[in-house]
Amino acid sequence: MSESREEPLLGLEGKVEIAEAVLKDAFRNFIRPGILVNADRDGIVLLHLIKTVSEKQGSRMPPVLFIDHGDHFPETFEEIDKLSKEWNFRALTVKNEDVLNAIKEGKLSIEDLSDVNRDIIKKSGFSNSEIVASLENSTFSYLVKNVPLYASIEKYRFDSIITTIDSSIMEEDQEVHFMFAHSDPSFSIIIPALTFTAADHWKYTFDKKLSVHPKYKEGYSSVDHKSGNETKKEKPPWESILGDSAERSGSPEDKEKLMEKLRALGYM
Amino acid sequence: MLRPNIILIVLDTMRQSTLYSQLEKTVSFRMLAQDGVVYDQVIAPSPWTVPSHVSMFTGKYASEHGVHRHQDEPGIEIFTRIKKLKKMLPEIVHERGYNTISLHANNFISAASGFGKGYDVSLNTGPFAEIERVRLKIKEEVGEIPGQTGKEKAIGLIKSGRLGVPVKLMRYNAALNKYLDKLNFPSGKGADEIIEQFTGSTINDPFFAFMNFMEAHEPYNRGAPRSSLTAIDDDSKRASRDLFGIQNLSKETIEASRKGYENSVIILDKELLKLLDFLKDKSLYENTLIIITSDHGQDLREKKFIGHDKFLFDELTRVPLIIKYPENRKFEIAHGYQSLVSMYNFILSWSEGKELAYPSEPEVYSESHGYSKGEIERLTDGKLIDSPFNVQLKAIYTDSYKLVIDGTNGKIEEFLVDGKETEPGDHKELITELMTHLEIFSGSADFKFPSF
Repeated sequence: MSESREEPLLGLEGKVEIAEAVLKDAFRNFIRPGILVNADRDGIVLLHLIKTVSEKQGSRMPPVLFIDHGDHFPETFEEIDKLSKEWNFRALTVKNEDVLNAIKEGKLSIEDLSDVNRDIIKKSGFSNSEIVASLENSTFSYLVKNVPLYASIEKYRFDSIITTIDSSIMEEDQEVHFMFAHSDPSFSIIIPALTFTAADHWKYTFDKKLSVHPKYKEGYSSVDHKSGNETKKEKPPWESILGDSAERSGSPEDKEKLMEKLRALGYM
Repeated sequence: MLRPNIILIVLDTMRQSTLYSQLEKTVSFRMLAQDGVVYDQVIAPSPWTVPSHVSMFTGKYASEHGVHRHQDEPGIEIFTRIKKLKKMLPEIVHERGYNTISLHANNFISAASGFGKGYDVSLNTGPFAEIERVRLKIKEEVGEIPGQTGKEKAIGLIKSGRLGVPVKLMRYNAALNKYLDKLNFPSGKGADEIIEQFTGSTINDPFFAFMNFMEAHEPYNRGAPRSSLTAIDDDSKRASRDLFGIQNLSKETIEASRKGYENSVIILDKELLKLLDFLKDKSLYENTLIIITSDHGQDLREKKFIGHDKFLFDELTRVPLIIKYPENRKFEIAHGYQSLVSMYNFILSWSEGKELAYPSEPEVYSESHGYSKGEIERLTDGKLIDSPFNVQLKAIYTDSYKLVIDGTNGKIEEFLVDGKETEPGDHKELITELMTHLEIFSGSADFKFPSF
């Protein structure tokens, strides 16, 4: 997983201005950007930033690519659908149907797959006859996330993808910038909220009164997929993140005030 | 497999229907069709020469490579944009060890216009090259002549006592006319010179030869530009009128234009046969990838005018594609449309020795970008038309449907089902789906869509 760029002395307002400047530049220099998000915290914040800049410029929001990897919470689809209507963007759900249809008892038999998917697996160097159908498995994850993403980029001829720091597009230990090139397929990756920490994302969410994926409220710290190693906690993730942040920046009373405010807004 | 020789032939301005309807009575085209594959769902990405050629050489649509008219800059800037492009197809195949040659009769795709990179030899030939050469020579010798119109300029010459200039111009005119007569202009537009150049040159394997023939391009039935040489009259409106013979079109003129256009197939067939005979004589035919296509079609007053550009009628967008593969392989045609944009990857694959059938796509697009700032007005039936032509159009072809949107005003310009004009209101769901594709394709461009 890639990490955000640490800018400990930069305030959220400055980070938002930077993100907006990056987006303006992207809209100026790329003719066909697409957005890659799911309905997680970072994704909704990014969508709001893009919506804000698009509105300021009087332009349409670019289309959103939503990759259905087969293990999303039903609430994720509902969130994307709800946001696309409220914010008036096109959501294109894409998936690797060949792979998803071939899963039997949590496994994927390579011989059941199409030539295209078999070629991809062969090129990756994977040599077994079966793959565990889990997003924790890198080959399976590549098949259900990256393959449909790249196919969509080619189909829709996107020249750039605006996304979050934690998207499936990122390679392990990738050195990230606000904009950088991806090859094969060739497109540019744009990370407007590169400087946003987890706390910044939550602060922005609450400041702008954005929608929050219901699973966070149930104590999930990640909502990308249902199964896996995620341990559900008793409290929503922002309590510890914003709590720590409030403690660092002020008194314990600040934390309590913040939580009260969030409760009033219906986030807790 | 070994890397084949590659010949890409662009029959500039040739509609698909005009070539295909005459295939049986041709010799060379029929031979290639029999030995190769004939594609009939081929769409040009743009309705005029420059952006369409750049699409073939970059694998990008005009909105992606940017070499099209921009309404906020002078038309001449298009050539600056070509020169700024990263590597185009000829440069890449040249780097891969191909000997490269470009023989063309269209000034727009000459080295001077920015298309020369990557070729060992690039030769601009034919009447338009000669007219341009003479025009520049006159300009150099005579210089600028004050005045807006030909009449004003003639008066200016007399007043300034430069009476020798008209004599000089007449001499150039006479020499040019002699050359044009030799070509049998306007029926002949230099195809024989291109074939002679190719068959007369020594080019080693593997080679990539690009040829552009102008026989199907207007003018068809005038001795233009015999009536005036543009150097004395820089008024581009008049020059355009004379050169292309598109003013005050009578029924007879239209009919003669159509006949001249149809006849270009026979002229080209004859010249192409010389090329095929040459390849066979040299035992090159079998292992050469030969591609016959066009950059755009032509309207012959079925719709708006005699000419091309600006619009996306099928007459302008549907182009021929006949491919004779190495060893006369017959590849199956996949369902969908073929775009000239795919030419880039297609040729690059073969240049690496990778066999590839020309790809079909579920959706393909075509685009028109209107006029550039200060560009010459287009003449239609003798009327200068500017603003109504200054539109941005985008078309999508998918399944049996075609939708064209005018993004200038957000209106549906054309909706076809099985090639027939159809009322959009009867297909709301379908139109919405097609517009979604077009909206994504139009990207961040300021392109309006109808609310439907």
